Amino acid sequence: MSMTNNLSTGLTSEQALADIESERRLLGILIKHPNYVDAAVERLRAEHFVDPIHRKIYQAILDLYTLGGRISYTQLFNRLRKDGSIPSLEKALLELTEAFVSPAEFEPSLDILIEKHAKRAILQAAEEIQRMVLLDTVENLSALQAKAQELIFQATSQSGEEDVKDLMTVLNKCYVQLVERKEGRKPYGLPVRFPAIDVMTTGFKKKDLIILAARPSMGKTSLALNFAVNVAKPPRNVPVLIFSLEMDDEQIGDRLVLSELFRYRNRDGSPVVSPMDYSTRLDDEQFAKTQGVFNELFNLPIYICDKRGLSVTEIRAKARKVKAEAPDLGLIIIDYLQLIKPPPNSGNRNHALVVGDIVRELRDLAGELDLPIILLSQLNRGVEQRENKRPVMSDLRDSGNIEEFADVIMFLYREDYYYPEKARAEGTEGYTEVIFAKQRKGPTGSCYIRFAKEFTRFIEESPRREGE
Amino acid sequence: MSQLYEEAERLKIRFAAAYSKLHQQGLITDEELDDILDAIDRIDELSTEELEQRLGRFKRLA
Repeated sequence: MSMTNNLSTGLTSEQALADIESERRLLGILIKHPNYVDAAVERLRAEHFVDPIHRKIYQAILDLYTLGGRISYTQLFNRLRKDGSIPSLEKALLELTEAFVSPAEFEPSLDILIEKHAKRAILQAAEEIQRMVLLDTVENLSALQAKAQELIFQATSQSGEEDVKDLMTVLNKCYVQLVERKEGRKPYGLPVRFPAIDVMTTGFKKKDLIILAARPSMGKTSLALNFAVNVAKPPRNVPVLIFSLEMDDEQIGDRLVLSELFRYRNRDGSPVVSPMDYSTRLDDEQFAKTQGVFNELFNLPIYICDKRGLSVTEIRAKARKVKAEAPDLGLIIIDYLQLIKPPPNSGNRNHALVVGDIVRELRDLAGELDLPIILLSQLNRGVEQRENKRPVMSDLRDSGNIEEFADVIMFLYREDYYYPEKARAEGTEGYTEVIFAKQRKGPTGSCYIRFAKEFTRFIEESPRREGE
Repeated sequence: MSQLYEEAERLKIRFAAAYSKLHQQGLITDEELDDILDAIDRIDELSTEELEQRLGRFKRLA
């Protein structure tokens, strides 16, 4: 791609962001000390060189290296001669023989080339965005925003950390986190402040995809919203992004307020503000309490996107945008998988494969943004036909390779959903079993919380068992 | 020592370029040029006799 002229120097931006001396130095070292080629191959590609002749020489070095051949000036001369693309080959190689003083210059030169290349990539993305905006080549604003984010993301993710790390690097990171946890500065994962759940998970881990699945009306959305508020509240104030593909922003706002109003009780235990009161007319005391809840919630760093029919591409673009604005974004909740729009070219493909691709892409997004993503999911009707209606992994089978890609799979099960009268008689209404069917980094098993359905609020409360 | 290496490498490049010109003029074949360049590349490993044997026949062209 051609670069624009830099007005003050007369150089193109690409020329201004080149370091030809470092390019020569690096090639000179590689030819005289071929044992450095291994280190170069790891981090350096031909496009890191600006000078087209240097690019060809580096590629020839890589070709000789790949073929297991000897690397020398004469071998390079012979290889490049046959290619015929460098007219002044003799001069180009002669220049390299005196380009460096010591092989100790290898690492600094390599770093310079990588840095210059990363800067050029950012500049190219900026120029491409400028071209798209000015020439109006993209059909609508949201597509333009998504494309611009994609370009910037690609340009800024090229100089990331290496794919293959030595054990010392990995253990160093683990040790820093261990010390931070010991000193109470950093929990292992992101606690959602339901102790029973946090004990099972030790907090949701960054880069993990967590599936929260249940039959309709079991309380998936409520629990996810409770997680969001708990995480976003002081003292942690972790920003949360919610994609609600079913409910609109007002419905979510009302649910958040109602679930917080659950805390306020009269002396007889009845709620100060009942859901009915909230949705009709409040007296002054109720209004004051409700206003207090609004004030608490106003400042929480929760972002809500209630646009329906989003595809993974759009979810990714919006998530990247929020992450750019709130770099400490710590949790994404997507409600729910079956409402995510499949890509346009998936019409003839098996539904399970399409859903599998969506799940995999969301897991990649969790990795890319370095945070946990909680993906809500429906379960198929097979659950209803069994005597034991506790969900099991196979109930997800119609939904692609969820079992394979998810790091954590949680199911919700409430007995009162199926046997309300029995639960009423036994006083177990709302008791909810949270089943951890899969945890890559933790145990499987169950824990219990209680669902106050009318307040869309889960609370920490162990169920009463027979004989207790 | 380093200067000596660089001088030797420059000499090899010049030799290689000179023989490449002969190849362009059609005075030596592809195979002959490959053989010459290989000999130049391994000049430090070859004895005087071996060099004479591999390159001597091209003296007439110099």
